[in-house]
Amino acid sequence: MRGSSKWNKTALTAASVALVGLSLSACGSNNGDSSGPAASGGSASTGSAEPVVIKVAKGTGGYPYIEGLSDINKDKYMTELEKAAGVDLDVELIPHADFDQKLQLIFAGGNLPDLIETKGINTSQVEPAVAAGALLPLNDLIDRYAPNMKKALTEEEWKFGTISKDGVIYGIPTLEAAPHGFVSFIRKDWLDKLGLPVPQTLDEYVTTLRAFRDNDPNGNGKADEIPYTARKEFKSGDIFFGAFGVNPDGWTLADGKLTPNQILPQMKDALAFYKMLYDEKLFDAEAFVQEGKDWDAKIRGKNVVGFWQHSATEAELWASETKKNVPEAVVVPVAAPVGPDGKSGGLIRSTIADKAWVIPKTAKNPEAILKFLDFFFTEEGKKFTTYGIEGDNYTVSGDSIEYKSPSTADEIQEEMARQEWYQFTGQNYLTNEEFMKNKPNNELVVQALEISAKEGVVNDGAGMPALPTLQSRPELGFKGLWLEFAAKVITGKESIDNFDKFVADWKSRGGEKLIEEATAWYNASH
Amino acid sequence: MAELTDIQLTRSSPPAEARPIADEKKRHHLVKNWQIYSMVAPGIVFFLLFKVFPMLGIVIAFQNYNYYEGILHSPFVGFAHFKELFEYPEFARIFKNTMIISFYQLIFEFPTPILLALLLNEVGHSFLKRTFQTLMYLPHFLSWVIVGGLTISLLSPSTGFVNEVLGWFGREPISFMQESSYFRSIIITSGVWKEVGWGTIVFLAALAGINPEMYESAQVDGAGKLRQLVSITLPSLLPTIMVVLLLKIGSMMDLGFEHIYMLLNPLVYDTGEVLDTFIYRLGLLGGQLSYTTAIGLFKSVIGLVLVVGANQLSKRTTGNSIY
Repeated sequence: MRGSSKWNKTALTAASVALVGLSLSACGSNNGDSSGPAASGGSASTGSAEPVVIKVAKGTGGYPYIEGLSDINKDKYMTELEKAAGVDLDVELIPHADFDQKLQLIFAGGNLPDLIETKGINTSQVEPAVAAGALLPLNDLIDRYAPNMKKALTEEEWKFGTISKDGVIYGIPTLEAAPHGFVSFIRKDWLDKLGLPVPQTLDEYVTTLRAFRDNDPNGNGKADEIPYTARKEFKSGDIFFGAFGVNPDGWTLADGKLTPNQILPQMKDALAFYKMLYDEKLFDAEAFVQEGKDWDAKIRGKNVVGFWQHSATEAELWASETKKNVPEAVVVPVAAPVGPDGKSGGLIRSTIADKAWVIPKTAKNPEAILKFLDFFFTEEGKKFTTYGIEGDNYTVSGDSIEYKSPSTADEIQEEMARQEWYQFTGQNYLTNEEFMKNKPNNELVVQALEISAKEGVVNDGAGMPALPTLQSRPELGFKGLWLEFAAKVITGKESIDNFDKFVADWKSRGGEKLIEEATAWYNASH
Repeated sequence: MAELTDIQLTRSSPPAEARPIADEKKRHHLVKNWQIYSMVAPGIVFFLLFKVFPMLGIVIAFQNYNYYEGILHSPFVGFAHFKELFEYPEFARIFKNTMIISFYQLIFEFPTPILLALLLNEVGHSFLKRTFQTLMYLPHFLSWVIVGGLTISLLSPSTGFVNEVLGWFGREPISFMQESSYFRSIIITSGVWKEVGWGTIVFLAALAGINPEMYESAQVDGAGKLRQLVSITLPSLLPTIMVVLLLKIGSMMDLGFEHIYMLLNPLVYDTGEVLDTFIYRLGLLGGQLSYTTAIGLFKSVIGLVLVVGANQLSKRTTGNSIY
């Protein structure tokens, strides 16, 4: 497809863009020149020149629409984006499930693409590239070519650990529009059928979950209900940890020391609570081995789950997809269970999302890449991700935009992919009040966001760099020793009384040093 | 496989050095038989290029390798990574699991294809025989992701067939995948199911090569089926069995990463985590390339010792050996 003639063109383009760049910078001092494109335009080339080719490595994000495409580079939204931003994107998809592994291989393999999606420059995959100076420092480039992006973040935010190191910016940030993005969902029709109110406290939740277990709310005559389910590694399953303020992947500043939640004393109570849920068959017995698809199937397809957590922005999708298989299903977002100290909810995410773009030093047109990413911070860019393609997703009549809201589940998936996946960075549709107001069936999402905004557990370790001890002893992370211990306690293979022994063991195996490193980082950066 | 390569290479090189023939004569020999040697050349080049040359990469086990400085410039740290491995608190557990699962594989997964080949050989009807054979090959072509998924759903406490059957007998469902005591059995059973058919091929070929006249004369002498099996079939199969066994021992430490990783979860780490899965977690996910290369090298050395030892033993006891 991309024959040699294409490559020749590419080379020509690169050369011509370099020339344009030169002439632009030459014009820089000459303010009287009126023909120079405004910086906010964002397009790398106007007129007859071929657009710059940018090779991009980007995760699929697990979006079904993206994963279902036969060729991402031929998708209608990709074509539209290229046209609007004036670039030629050559995207290579990284599978969502093996993202970390594949990213590692991309970095190890050399021959890097021009623009790479990462989970932050402080992760173990990217950190060596930063240390070796393989990534382009972006401070000057952002100042010169991405003025809209520059404005969108505060000074404080530009220093965030996922994008910058010692004052040098290596990552182009993505913004988290919903830091309190996680919300609990409950089957309202089950509650109504059993005559129960919406639960609030831990005790009320336990009562409700017991009723789900015993009273056959799905009405199939079998006791097959799973009151509460989760994916493995407590993904979408940490809401009861949240009630104790100890979501396992978070950190808390305790007695002047930045300590991982996994070893805090409250964790013992939280584990005891999960054990009780498991023993009473209120918590899914398969939660420790379950992948996302099985979890999904139980909720939407098999109609056996009463309570679960997921993204607040997907509230509408959960409601409509569950309804597709179970017509009587009513899914509503509810406040998370409130624990003894009044804490509740998922871990609050920082305003800088843990997705950051990096540009290797080998990239040919960094200025064009910066301009391309700045496009998403312009009105034009926001309009594309929010509303899509004119004539296809919306029509313009006079001043107002007539948006064709998706109605089927597939259309919702497509809209989600456009609004989230195609939004490489920038403020997304959630910040667009007019869109949110006019969107039909959006009450659930708005409601879910309102609920989740009132709850959540603060993570004092947000933006932490890759600490040396955690890199050489990865088992100290919550997916290591803690997960094994927690799984054993919950399933009854180890006594909860061993918690103190676990903490002592964790500390002696390098945990003490890890806390020291984390505390030093915290004190230096706060 | 790295260990095997060594052996094949040592087989081809030492005789040339061992016999100090006059250069002239040797050259003569090479020149005279150049057609034959040119046919061997691609094979030698293949092994040099894809097996021997990449072995230079093990040097990173003694460095703090990072891919920006490359093999030539990464700092040299000697045996530090090996020390780290032996001092790792879970090392004993991981090593023990690796050895136990390898041993189980050897005693269960090795003999079953022989048994199956003998049974298949007795199926008189050739259409039936071929149908059975083909059906048994099929699982070999499924990836572990699929077989792992099948295993998990078969054993699921809520929807799995096995627990359904247990339910008929009034038993409570068992969460097989979360019980460390079942883990190794599940690994071995699924491994046998997937590979047993494929493993029969070489034995069936060997069985087909046995001279039918031996059976005929045995029948004339009044030997029954069992007698024929013990006195004709098994002795004729022995060389094949020994070679397959030795090859198997050589790759004994390679447990099939995908197979175990698919079924592994935190509840069964204590019986299921092996060197291969440990390497994956540290190396590919954690980016510790030097450390994991050191572990891989350690594994290969054990493999090499095992195969050389077993080969010597076999040579002395049965006279069969792979080199």
